Amino acid sequence: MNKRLLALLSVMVIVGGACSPAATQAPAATGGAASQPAATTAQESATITVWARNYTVEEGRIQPWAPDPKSAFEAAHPGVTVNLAEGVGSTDQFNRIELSRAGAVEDKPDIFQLDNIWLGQFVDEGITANLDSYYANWADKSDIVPAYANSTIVKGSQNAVWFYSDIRLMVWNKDVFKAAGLDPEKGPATWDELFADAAAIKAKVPGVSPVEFPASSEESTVDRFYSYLYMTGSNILNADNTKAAFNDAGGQKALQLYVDLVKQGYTPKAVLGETADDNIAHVFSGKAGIMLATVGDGLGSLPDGFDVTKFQSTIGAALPPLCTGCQPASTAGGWMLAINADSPNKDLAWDYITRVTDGKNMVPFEVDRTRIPVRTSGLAEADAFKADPYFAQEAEAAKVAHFPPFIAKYTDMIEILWTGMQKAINGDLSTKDALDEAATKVDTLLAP
Amino acid sequence: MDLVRLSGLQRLVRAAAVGLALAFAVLPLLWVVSIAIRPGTTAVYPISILPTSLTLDNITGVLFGSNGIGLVPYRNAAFYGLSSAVITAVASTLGGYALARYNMRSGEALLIVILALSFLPSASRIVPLFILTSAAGMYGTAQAVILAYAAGSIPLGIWLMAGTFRQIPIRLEQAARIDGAGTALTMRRVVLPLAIPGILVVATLAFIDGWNSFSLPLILIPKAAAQPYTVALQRYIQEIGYGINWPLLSAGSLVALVPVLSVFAVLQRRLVRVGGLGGAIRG
Amino acid sequence: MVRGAFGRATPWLLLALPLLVMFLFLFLPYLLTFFYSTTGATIGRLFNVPQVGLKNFQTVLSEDAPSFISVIAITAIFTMGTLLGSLALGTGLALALHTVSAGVRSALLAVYLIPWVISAVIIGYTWRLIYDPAIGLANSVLGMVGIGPVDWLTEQGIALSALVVANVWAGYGIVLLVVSGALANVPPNIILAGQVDGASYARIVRRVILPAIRPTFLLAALVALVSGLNTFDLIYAMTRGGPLYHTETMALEMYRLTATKGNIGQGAAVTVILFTISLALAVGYVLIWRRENRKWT
Repeated sequence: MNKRLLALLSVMVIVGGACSPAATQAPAATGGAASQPAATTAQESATITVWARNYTVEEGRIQPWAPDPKSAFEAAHPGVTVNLAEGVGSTDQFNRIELSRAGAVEDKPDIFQLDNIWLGQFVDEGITANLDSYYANWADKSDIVPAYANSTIVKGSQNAVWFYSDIRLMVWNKDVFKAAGLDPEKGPATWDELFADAAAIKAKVPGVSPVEFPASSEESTVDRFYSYLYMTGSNILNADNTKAAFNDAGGQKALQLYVDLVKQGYTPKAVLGETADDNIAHVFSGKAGIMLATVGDGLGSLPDGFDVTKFQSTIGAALPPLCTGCQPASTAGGWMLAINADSPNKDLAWDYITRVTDGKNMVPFEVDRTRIPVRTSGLAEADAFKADPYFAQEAEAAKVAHFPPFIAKYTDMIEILWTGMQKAINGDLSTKDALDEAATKVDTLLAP
Repeated sequence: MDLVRLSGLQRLVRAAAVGLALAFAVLPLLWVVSIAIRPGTTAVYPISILPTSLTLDNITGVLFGSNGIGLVPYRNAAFYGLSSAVITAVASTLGGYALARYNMRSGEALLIVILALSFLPSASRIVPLFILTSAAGMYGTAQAVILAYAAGSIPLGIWLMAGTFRQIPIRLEQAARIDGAGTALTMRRVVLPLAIPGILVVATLAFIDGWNSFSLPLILIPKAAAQPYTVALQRYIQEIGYGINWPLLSAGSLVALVPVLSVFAVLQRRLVRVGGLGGAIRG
Repeated sequence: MVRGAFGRATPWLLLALPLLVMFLFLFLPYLLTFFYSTTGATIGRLFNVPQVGLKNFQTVLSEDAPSFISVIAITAIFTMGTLLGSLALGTGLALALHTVSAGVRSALLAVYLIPWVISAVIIGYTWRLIYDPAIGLANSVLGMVGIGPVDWLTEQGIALSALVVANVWAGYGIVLLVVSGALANVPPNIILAGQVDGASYARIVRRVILPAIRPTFLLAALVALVSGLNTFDLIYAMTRGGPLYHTETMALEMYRLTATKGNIGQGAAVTVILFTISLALAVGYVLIWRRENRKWT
């Protein structure tokens, strides 16, 4: 008797649990509808919840959200407050946004910050609100740097607002260079110089990895690789994002660089377990000589005990070294702001977003965290950015930066790519075979 | 027991085995202690086996410093562990008594099934628990985590309490009844006092399991302020500029060991005896 | 037997609380795992999930980085290594301690059991420190005898063995505990008889003691086996399944698919496979227990 009862109860709970989307999502909709402001009146009371990346809400550091935009916004809309919720790291940000949409957590943001590579997936899943009507009437629209302006259009509509950007530069540890008898102010400008410098470091500075790049099973592996892919003239996907393009001659050449560095002992195989954060930590502490590509010039990842002066005397930065017959290239990354499709306060959210992303407002934050402005008005403040010793190099790199494709299956695609890269680096497959295998899988993934 | 005679060679072998095992058991922990009590700047390559200078800075740093995790994670772990211990003790006592004293048709089978359940991978119930607690609106609550802990500790608890109660002669209960005592009094005056050692062991084991738990709170407790030390210490693995912050991580681990080792030191005799109970399955 | 206040139902009422807690937080989650393994649930889609039949199992079995064969092999090697190491060390120590005086035994036992009460993740951090290439104890000791630093946890061929050593350290305590208990219950007469007949301790162990503690020994073996199979915290803290999946057991793969990749359906599929193996072992234990029990009654 009991066993059957138990079985029946379990089935009921499971079936009930699996079929309750309406139950969990309805309250949000009805509750929201009730508080939807018909117009911005003096009597309204609402809270705009913002889900931000942790370092943008770090106490004691410059924030783009507050104090100015927040107080100005709240003054313009009495009764409305901005709730800057706890900031989290990248993966956690992605997860909590997805969980919120799934109805698994109670908190729902009005505004959330997203990595540009998530845009395709979020639009596909319907998490972001359509912003066409807001963009249409937006005066500041022309202030957005042209390269960035249209990249927020997915499936024909605007879905996000660029927040701030970053590009990739190669960095090196000047003390390691000095010890190896190399000029600390001059990084390798070509691949040949890269190998020569690596050989010098290997010979004269034992215990230090000459060159490092991330090769673990996560996103930074492909992100830091892209610049080398682009410079050979190759690309990640073809023009209409339906097929892989990275297994062409250029792509093989780029991956071969990684493979050769490991084969010749200039990069330890341990990089297969290292993320970009691990690499940059090694460069700062002098355990590695050169990192092939990092976010900005590394100033945004200063460890304890480093100030700007020490940074400049320890770290050098330049565009990624070039192969013969290749074109300079870098990769653009960065963050955007989107409005939750379920938000009942879209108008208010948009107003706050415009204030926060204003060119002049963003500059202090961008200077502090060595990010690139996405507004012409921001870029015009060249003086402010002089605090970053390598801003000139970053501005150069921004001119030749490429964007990754904002497709819905981006995360699945990069997993295939990094797996292929790992197989080549580990010696399991030849570079060509590894890339061809990955390309075939990507083609299957992207097939309609 | 002393009645086994060993030859001189056998004594030597025994001493060597015991000694090596002692070194194996203790050295890893001593190394953690040695890293925790030496200045962070000396924890670099090449490192000396014995510390050249000692400091408490790492311990104060992890508990009160700006880069520390504070006392809160330890308090959280204690709270979850104690709550689970209480619930486990109560539930195990009830269940163990039922299985020991009552001639249930499915009693034996139930005991075996319950024990078999505890063999299943605990890591694999985490995601479903996440889904269940979300559906029930309990996601991220302390209750959910505590009950999840308890559910993991109850199977063994029932088994141990059943064994404990079986060892208490039933004549005592029957005698009390003949003397006119009701059920409640019999329990309170006769049975429970004799069962206390067993209950203590069950509660201790449940507390230790809760205190040590990592994968459950990793998924079920998203808010940093409510996380136990096992999850909080993760931040030292990914620190930028350090790679792994060994001085603070070792200090944090050391602090975590203190309560559990103290409890163990005090109750170790009882725990060992009950472990011996496990050896007498036929009982 | 005792007559309860509520007649036949009394024991069930007493069992109500523990059964309820176990059902909701132990039994039901496992059941739910089975359900989710046949769906396309992801971290963004937990309710109203599409049915995909056995597709998750297909994907998991045909995955090639890591390949399912390698995951099974690594799980098997890790589990067997842990089992053999824990059994050998735990039983050997129990037998050695059996011959010393009670006071010394008690003190030694207390020290040997310390790893048993430490959190698995703390054990992970501890051994990760030991294996650290720069400041770890292992390389420092090797350095003293002139051997160069070894990449214990990042060298693909060594990492798994390094993990087994750490897991044996974590697990021999329970074997020691259980076998010590069993040894204490072996009637002294038979040992005495053996001694009087002039047998050496080694022979007494082999002919008399080990057979006497067989059921307990099997229990300890099963506990060690199952715990090895389910080890997650320790591996997560030490290598997260790396380098390049060379320490990725089924438990790690389950976590990676579920939490890192966000694919709950696939994670559940791996869970079902792991669960089935554990269940088979548990059933095996029950059958052996009944067989041994029948021998003694």
